[in-house]
Amino acid sequence: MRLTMTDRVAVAALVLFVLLPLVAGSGLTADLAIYFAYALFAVSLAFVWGQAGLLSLGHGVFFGVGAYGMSLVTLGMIPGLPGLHSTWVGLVVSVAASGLAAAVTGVLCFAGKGLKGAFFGIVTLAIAFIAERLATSSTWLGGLNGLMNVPPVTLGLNGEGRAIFEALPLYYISLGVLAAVMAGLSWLLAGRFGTLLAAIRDNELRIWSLGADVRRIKIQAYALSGAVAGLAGALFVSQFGFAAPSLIGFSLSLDVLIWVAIGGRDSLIAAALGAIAVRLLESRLADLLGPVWPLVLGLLFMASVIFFPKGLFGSLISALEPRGQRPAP
Amino acid sequence: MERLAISLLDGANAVLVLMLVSLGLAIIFGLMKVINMAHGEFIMLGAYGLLALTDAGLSFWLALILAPLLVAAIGLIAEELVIRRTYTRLLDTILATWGLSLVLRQAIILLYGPGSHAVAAPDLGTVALFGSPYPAYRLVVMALSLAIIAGTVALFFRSRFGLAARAVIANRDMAACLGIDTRRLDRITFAFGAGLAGLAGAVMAPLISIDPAAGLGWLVPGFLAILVGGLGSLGGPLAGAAGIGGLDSFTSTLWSPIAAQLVVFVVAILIIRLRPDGLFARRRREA
Amino acid sequence: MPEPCLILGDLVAGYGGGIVLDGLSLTVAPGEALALLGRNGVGKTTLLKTIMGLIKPKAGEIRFRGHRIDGRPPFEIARAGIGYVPQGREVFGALTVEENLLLGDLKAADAALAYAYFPALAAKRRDPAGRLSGGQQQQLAIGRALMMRPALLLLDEPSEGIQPSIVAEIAGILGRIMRDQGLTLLLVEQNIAMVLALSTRAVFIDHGRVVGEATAAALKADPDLIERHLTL
Repeated sequence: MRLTMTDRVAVAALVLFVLLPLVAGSGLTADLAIYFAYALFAVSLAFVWGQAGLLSLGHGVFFGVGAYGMSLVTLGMIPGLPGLHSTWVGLVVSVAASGLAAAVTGVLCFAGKGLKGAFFGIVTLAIAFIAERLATSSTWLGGLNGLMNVPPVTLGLNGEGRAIFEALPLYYISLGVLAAVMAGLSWLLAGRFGTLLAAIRDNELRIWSLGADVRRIKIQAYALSGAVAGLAGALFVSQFGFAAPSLIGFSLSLDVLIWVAIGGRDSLIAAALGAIAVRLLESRLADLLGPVWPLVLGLLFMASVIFFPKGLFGSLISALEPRGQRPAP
Repeated sequence: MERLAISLLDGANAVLVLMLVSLGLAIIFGLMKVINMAHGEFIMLGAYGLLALTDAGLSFWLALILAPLLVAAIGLIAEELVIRRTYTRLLDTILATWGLSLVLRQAIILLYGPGSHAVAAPDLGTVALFGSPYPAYRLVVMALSLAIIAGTVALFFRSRFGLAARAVIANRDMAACLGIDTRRLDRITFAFGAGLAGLAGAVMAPLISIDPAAGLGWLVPGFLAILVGGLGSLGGPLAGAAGIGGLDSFTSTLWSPIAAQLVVFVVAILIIRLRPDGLFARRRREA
Repeated sequence: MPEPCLILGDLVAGYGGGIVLDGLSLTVAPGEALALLGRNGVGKTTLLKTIMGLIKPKAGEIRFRGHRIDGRPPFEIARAGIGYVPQGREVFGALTVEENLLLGDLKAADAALAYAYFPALAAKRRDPAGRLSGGQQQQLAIGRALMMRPALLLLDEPSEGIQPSIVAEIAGILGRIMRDQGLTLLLVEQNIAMVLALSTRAVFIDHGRVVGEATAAALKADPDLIERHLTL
């Protein structure tokens, strides 16, 4: 099996991260464990944006739904099931709920002629905006403060057993989930589904000749992306410990967009590395630059859109590519 | 009875300002095919501009004239530095203007902090309407908005400049072949759209809480108004704004602001779903 | 020897990565009406679009009245004195006849110049251009270009979709305009009647180059000349 440059970079990055805890302190390890959840989120956006050409400006909704879903289950807050605390059920619920939310959005938006690409983005933004307002005003969801004391990942079937809150195991769990999902998505993209998505992204006319239902494929891709984002949200909240409206709304949606734009939208690994890199940079520079940091990030974002449309890591992969080959996801 | 009348007036107020916002967005999109995600920030810059100028000692009315001009100038710079470089890639223009919106928002936060500010309306007293005192300033806002909208429509349909703009909107290449400098028109149009937004913000400033994040609250309804009303003519966005603004006001008074947002959104999505080109879309090619 | 109106030197141009014009050279004398003949797809429309600046040439040069115009944006080329009547007319359907005409000269007080040559348009000045017939739209497109007071007029298949009597009428008007205004014409046409009525000279284009030429007289004398050249 021939590996593309993108695959090779992904494998190299994986090896790097597997070995990293040997030299990194526990602070960095704990941080990275959370950043891997963000990276997974970035991957979900790159999947739907870079591969299918669907610019989702409000992708935070799905991350938030996953986070809230996981929190509600593990906190035993599901109405009628007070004894339910299971991490595993929580994961299933997050993924299902966010995937469903994405599917519904898709059904609403990709109708008939469909919303033109640009306006689809605005509609997703409107959804995120409203979702955040709803979450803030909902007492069940904890209102402005959100849900706190969300339990960590617990290995037992229903919230008993070994709880995982040390940095090192969390790191490898997070990394493992990230790598597994990325591998799965890459495999999917390498096959017929990927070809169809590329056809949709580049020019929908061609796709009719491939005999496919454009609308159904878009909904499937979007639902899958939503599910992955939800998984990322669940992973995040079980480490971070609380779910707040800011996770479901507009500012996180903007953040993930920045990570993918700076990292690179054309490949999953570029997006993942973008998220990790920006977060790392932020943790080092935010204190130093204080309130100027968001401005700097915004400028970096704009600069990357204008001057590096492939993103930093995307451009790097392109540069490493031997001549004549097109980078694949 | 008076409560209803007051609500209607306030609603009319909100509708007119939303019309100003949608008009600016529609003009920019119609002419340049640019989706200006920074439009909300241009509105806020208008409000902050008014704040800054009145703080500096200028009279309210002078500040009201200058603030939009300042915003138009910022728009001009943004067009040159940002839009110009990405407008061949439509989706990237959205991102670039979204980035611009972030940068402008952060710049405001750096200058004024993340909290909210207030600016006092000029003391014009009240007018007795339907037996209740109604702030005269609000009536001025409505009159001004109406005048600007009418003026913009007149500019578009009566002036040679408007004719050139309409030609470029209809068929950019052919307009260029007739000697129209489309590049210059782009610049003027974007600055004009930004100025309209700035005016909306400046005029609304005494009536709202001036905070850096408020822009989004205008951007989303503005775009929904365009999507619902349809492009292709100026009437579409205006009608869309009337519908969206009216529905929002009505539901807000009857229920709550958050319910209003939800209702407006669901209705808008349904309409767009059923009529993807908007309710009043003009048929493009008639030749 | 009067200075040529238009000189094309080894022009290479095309869409995207492809090449349509492959080293095309041509000289157009002032006051002449030159017909460009050739099968579909050989590059006639591409040539007009390249002169007009809608397509950037990859190599070669274009000189109009002594000045290089290749690489300049279309609006500058239009203002330099080249009018364009594209295939399909491309009138602004939602704008009125008068508005369409005024677009050719935004500073004009009125469209009297166009109405002088196309009186039929005057009667319809407030109608939306989209409601005009094909022949009327053609007149509108030419009138619009005329308002720019061009020195050179590029016409792409003006007779397409128009009935023969109107074609003849338009040819007549164009001839009058040429004489009155000293206009030079570059005409892409499939309609032989139009070519014979209007042009003084014709060149044959194939594979993106000029492969032959003939005077109007030669064309009139030998009607099969065009057939032969195009089927070669």
